[in-house]
Amino acid sequence: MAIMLDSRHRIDRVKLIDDDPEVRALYKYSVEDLELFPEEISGPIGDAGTLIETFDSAADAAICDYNLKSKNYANTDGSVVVSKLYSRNVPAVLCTRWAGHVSDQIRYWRRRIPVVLSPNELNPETLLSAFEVCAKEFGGGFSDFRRPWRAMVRVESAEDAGGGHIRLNLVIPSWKSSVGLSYVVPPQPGAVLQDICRRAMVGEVVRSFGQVNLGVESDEDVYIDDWTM
Amino acid sequence: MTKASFRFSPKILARLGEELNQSADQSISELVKNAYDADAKECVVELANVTLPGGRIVVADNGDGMDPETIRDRWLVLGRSSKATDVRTNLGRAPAGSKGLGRLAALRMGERVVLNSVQRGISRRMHELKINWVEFEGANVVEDVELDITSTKNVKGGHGTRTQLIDLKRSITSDEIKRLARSLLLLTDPFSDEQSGFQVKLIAPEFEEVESLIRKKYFQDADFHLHAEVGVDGRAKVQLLDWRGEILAKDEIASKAVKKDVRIYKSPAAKFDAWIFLLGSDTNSFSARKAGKGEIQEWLRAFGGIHVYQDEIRVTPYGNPGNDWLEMNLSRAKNPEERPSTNTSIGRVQIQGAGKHALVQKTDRSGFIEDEHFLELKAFLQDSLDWLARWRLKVAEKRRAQDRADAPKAAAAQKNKVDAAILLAPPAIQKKLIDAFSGYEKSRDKEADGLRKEIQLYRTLSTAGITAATFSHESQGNPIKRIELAASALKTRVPRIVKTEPDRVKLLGPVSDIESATRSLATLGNATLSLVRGAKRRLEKVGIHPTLDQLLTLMEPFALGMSTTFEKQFCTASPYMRTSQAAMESIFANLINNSLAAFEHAGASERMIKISTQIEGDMAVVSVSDSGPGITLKPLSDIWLPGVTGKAEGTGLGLTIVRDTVKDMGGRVDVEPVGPLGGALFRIYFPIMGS
Repeated sequence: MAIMLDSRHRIDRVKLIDDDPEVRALYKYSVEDLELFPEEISGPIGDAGTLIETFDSAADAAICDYNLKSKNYANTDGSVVVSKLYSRNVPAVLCTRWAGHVSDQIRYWRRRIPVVLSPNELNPETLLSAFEVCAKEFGGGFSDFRRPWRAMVRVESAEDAGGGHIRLNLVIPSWKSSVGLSYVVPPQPGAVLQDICRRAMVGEVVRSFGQVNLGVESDEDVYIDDWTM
Repeated sequence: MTKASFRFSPKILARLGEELNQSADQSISELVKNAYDADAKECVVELANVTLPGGRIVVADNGDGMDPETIRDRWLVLGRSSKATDVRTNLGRAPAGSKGLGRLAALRMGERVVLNSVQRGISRRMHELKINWVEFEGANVVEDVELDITSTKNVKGGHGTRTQLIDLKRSITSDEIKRLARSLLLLTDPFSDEQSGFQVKLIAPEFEEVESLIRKKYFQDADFHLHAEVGVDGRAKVQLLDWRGEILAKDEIASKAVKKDVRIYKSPAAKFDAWIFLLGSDTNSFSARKAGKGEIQEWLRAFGGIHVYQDEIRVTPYGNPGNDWLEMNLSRAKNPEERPSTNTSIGRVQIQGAGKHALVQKTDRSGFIEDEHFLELKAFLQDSLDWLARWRLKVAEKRRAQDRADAPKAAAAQKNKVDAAILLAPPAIQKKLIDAFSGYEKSRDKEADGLRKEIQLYRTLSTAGITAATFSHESQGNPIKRIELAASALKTRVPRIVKTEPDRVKLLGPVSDIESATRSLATLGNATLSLVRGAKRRLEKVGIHPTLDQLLTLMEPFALGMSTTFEKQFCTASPYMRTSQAAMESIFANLINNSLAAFEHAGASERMIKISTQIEGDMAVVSVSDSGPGITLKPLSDIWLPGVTGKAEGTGLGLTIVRDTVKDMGGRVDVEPVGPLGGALFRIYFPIMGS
């Protein structure tokens, strides 16, 4: 059976991406209860690009774990996979227990990760709702707490976060002027972010701009995208 | 021809009694030794009204007892002991009393003596002897006073001897009673794990106090355990053991003159055990020691020293307070670093009373006659301690050599520069400069040494933290995720599949229980991981109240799981300082953990932790108190030492971290062992930037 999310998006199959086969088997329950076809991605899946190629953007969706690298299952994180699927208009939900702990790490990708579910939240209703949110965003429809606004971002400092990553410590005054946020930049970001990282690493306070979901309440869900100077 | 014989003036009784055995504890110990020689299993010493003259002492045992002939021909005969040490008693004991002189000293403590004895196997008759010392004063010679031994019917059964010393000539002070308690407890080797077949009980509050102290046995907390033995062939072996008894080093003791020659000691066969504690102020480094330094010091003050046991009975004065018969303190003064003193060690020497080089005790019970064999025994013991000192010195040298090799080359180069610069100074002040620089170097080395120890402590801590975080990550990642997904699937499917409401409830109830248990499990991991988040280690503006709120929220499920509630009483201000969130969290997390552990340890019924804040000038004062049992450790200052813990599985690091962290933040921490809620109260003073 298929589910029509809106006039343009249909789902027949949900691919299940997790390095633990037992967890993949458990994801199936919610998918089956929606009477969709679950397909386990048993891996190894290599890089995200290769995996994305196997998706049919007209009929596929995905549930994806965050930690994919611990068992030689993938060489990338679930945040990268979900974000790339989103870019290709494939509805995808990140399912992790670590939302709070990894919010700094996934903030860079978060603009393209509309929904993060914890395992105890995953059920047929929340899953369908998450896919609907994705489909809506593909069409430019955002909820208040996901809608992007241009906002000034003040980068106060930067430090090496290991593995070629740089951690930026920043404040978004038009969101909450007294809350510091961290933002982990992966290796080889765009030219603007590269410049910001370089300057912040030598102690400069950098004032830049980005697309920020200013309506969000929790700092865990803040995203910053489309950086400009 | 006129026949004559020696006769003795009654004054001789005072000479031999009071003047040979001066101390009360030593005299009473002699009566107890008589009980041991009579194969008693128990001996009870009772003191009645002894703090004033006229009191009474009763020594009763359940030994073999005596018939009238034995009382007359042995007990009353002074100076001739039938107790040859090579003739064992029926229980195989080597007789400990000697010559009857010790007994006389005890008997002379009172104006009168009443002796009652019931012989083992003939319990129907009790024999009684009364001595009234006043009668001797009027007599010309001792033999003029006739003593009657009466026999009566004994209806109580039993056997043994009861000696009453009545109308004591002088009072016995509390200190003397303590000394007596110590002597009685140490009389038969209390150091081994096995209970002796001879129990001595003193009925006095001082005894219970000393007894509870001796039961503590801190041997496992010793830093070194030296074990040495000299055999009947005179060859000596020595070994150093760790707390589990694993051998760290061993050797045969060589002659001092020719190091390769094994020395043959003309000493009685002996076993020597010494437990040595490093208790100096520079040894506050991490150790796995369970007991506090103060507790160990108190124990060593009471029982420390090297005691000698001949045929399982202690020989005084070796190991008495102030008795340094092995000259340990002198050796330590010469080389303080690697030598134990009488205050930092406890030990025993076990020897046989019979044999080729047997030692003989002096008549006045002031130790052994210091003949060649005694001096050889002493040499063996001192050589064993020397061996340990050499071993420790070698290890310390090796460590120092390694430290020197590890010292940064830049520092060495700088030192050369300073040395060269000093040489340029006028000769008159060169020496002063050299001395000053050398003093500086020493203090810097000491500081560096302290820092190295701190680093070791924190490495241990970090490893514990990393392990906990890894474990949390593993358990959170997959197993808990699986449980949560499965429970969630059940919650969705049960209402669809099960038609009737009562049946649904029957299934959803347990699902809800699974969810609740999983949440508790997840809290533990979340808490661990939350505390190790890298971002929290940055220096930034940290609000005291928000940090406390976050931490309490994080720990609340864990605390509730232990039936503990938090009570917050924050002031209206918003104090903050520039520090890291991790530092501030570590202070309160450790204090809360400490309270939770105290509740668990004491099995407390009311469990509440109260956290209150207030502003005092430019300081914020955070008080953390609990309703636990409070702190009993003495001295109280020991709670801050690393490794000191009252809990079997405790690390003893929590409060050390609290102290160090608060100090690093420029604050201070005070403790009241018993606060307003009944448990400990910690007050932390933070120098704030604003509120």
